[in-house]
Amino acid sequence: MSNQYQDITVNQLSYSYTENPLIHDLSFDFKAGELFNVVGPNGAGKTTLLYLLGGILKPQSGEILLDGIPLSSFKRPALARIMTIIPAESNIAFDFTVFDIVSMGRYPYHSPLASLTNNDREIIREAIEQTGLTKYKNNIFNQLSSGERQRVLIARALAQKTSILLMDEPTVHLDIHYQLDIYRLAQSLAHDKNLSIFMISHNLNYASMYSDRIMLMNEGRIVKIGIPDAIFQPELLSDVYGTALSVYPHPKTGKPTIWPD
Amino acid sequence: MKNRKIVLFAIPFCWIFIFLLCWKSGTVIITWEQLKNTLFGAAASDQTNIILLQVRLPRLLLAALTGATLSLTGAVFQALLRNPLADPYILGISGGSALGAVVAMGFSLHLMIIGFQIVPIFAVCGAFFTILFVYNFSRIGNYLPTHTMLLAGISLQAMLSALILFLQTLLDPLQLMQVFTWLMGSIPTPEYGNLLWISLYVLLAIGVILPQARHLNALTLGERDAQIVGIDVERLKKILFFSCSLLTGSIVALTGLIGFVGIIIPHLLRLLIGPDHRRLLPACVIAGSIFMVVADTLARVLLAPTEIPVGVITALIGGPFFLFLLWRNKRKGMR
Repeated sequence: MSNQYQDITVNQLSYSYTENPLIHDLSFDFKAGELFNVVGPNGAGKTTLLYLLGGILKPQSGEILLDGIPLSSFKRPALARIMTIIPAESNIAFDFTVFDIVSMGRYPYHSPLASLTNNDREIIREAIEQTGLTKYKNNIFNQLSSGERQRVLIARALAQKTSILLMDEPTVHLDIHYQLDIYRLAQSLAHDKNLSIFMISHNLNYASMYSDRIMLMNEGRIVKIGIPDAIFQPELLSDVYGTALSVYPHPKTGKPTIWPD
Repeated sequence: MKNRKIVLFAIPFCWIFIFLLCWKSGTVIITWEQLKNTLFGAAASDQTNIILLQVRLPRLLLAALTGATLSLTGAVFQALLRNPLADPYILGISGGSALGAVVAMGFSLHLMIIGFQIVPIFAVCGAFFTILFVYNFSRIGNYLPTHTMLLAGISLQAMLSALILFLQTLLDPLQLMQVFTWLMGSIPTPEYGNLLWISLYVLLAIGVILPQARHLNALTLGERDAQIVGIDVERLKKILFFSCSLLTGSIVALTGLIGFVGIIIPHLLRLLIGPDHRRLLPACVIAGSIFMVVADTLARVLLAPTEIPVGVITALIGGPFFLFLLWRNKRKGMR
């Protein structure tokens, strides 16, 4: 990756729509080469945090730094070459094809009137292939299943070739095959291509299997940050999620796996 | 690919041919020979020259500008509001500029300020405030609910019409007649001076809008997704709201309310060439202008020497088309 910006540092970040803060005084960081997973119950503020990190929402207090430089000092097109977001879902009013939408990932690299270069086409083709969409390339986005649409959004983000990826539950509509594909892809992007990946996950077992560090959130605050073994403690999880949970080691890898009691 | 080149090559010729045909048509019969003589300055009778150059040509040019404007703004609003049914007329924006124009006309503010007429300025402001209202009223965060927006537009249009009617009761009969004819929507025969100013506004706005085509593509996935791929959405919206109000206002001030062109043309073109705005927007300018030239010619010749307001013709084509779109959307919803 050619972009130098990779490490995100968050200092005393707070954000609210109304009086009750959705995000309360968060401080943490994640770095290049790391798959950083965020878990926590519904309404913990995970998605709000993701859009704050992506610069879509503006924090009321605290700061977000990109390699020490405040996020707010980046212009929108420059930011889109450094980091991108994979939203949980998107819909579109018109009949654009998969290729059209993935090629939007190349917009930040060109002036408004330029057309796609051969290099762009190669990047788009690769992104489409990595997400298993090659045979749907010319299909209309709106006519795909929700899982296929989610993969299109992942492909668009890959085509953006950013050094930071923010993923909002990227596997929620996917079957087990593509869920594992996406986790493995995220892990290899982090470890082999040295990307920084921030991923919200509801699947605790996959988070445990693939992520380097995990941040457990509840009610807008950080409960604990650490390696999977440190986070996935039965008492801690049962307490945060409000239901009895047990943790057993995975029979092959020894990583913690989470089960209902 | 080869077919496409042929089509691209054929379009200007078709456009010019249809334009000449419409130029030739009218109550007074004019032959191709006479048209040729006038065009190339050869010996033509004065009467023919006057009909062609002073009566028909400025009107045809205004019709072309009107059609281009209405379809282009239609396409832009549809992208901006992420709604295939958006159109300046339905969203109350035409009504807003009409109210502005009627206020200016009613109070006889026919002043000129350095080439800027008061009526278009009022019309532009009316259009601008209406679109700001409809947009901000309907928006919930990143989400623009279709129903709220259409209903807000339609109720605003009704309120604006009521205000226009109210203003009409205050006018004297002569002004009333003038305003009434204007509201029905028709292409007048403008003076060349006026036409020049209007074309300047329109070309300026088109020049600003066309390069935003790719940004509009991204915006059809929503404001959030447009930001994700690096688009400064707030700036884009300001540019588009402003230039579309300029376009709609300056045209409505001259032609009154001509509905549905902004829906028919972009939709037909999407069916033909797809939703990519890089092709769609220029196509709207080309197809919209010729559509309006034809519609206005029909308005002139169908019941000649009586003229039908061109708004009647576009509404009679556009109304059923709009219902067809709603019906198709309804079936999509059921599936």
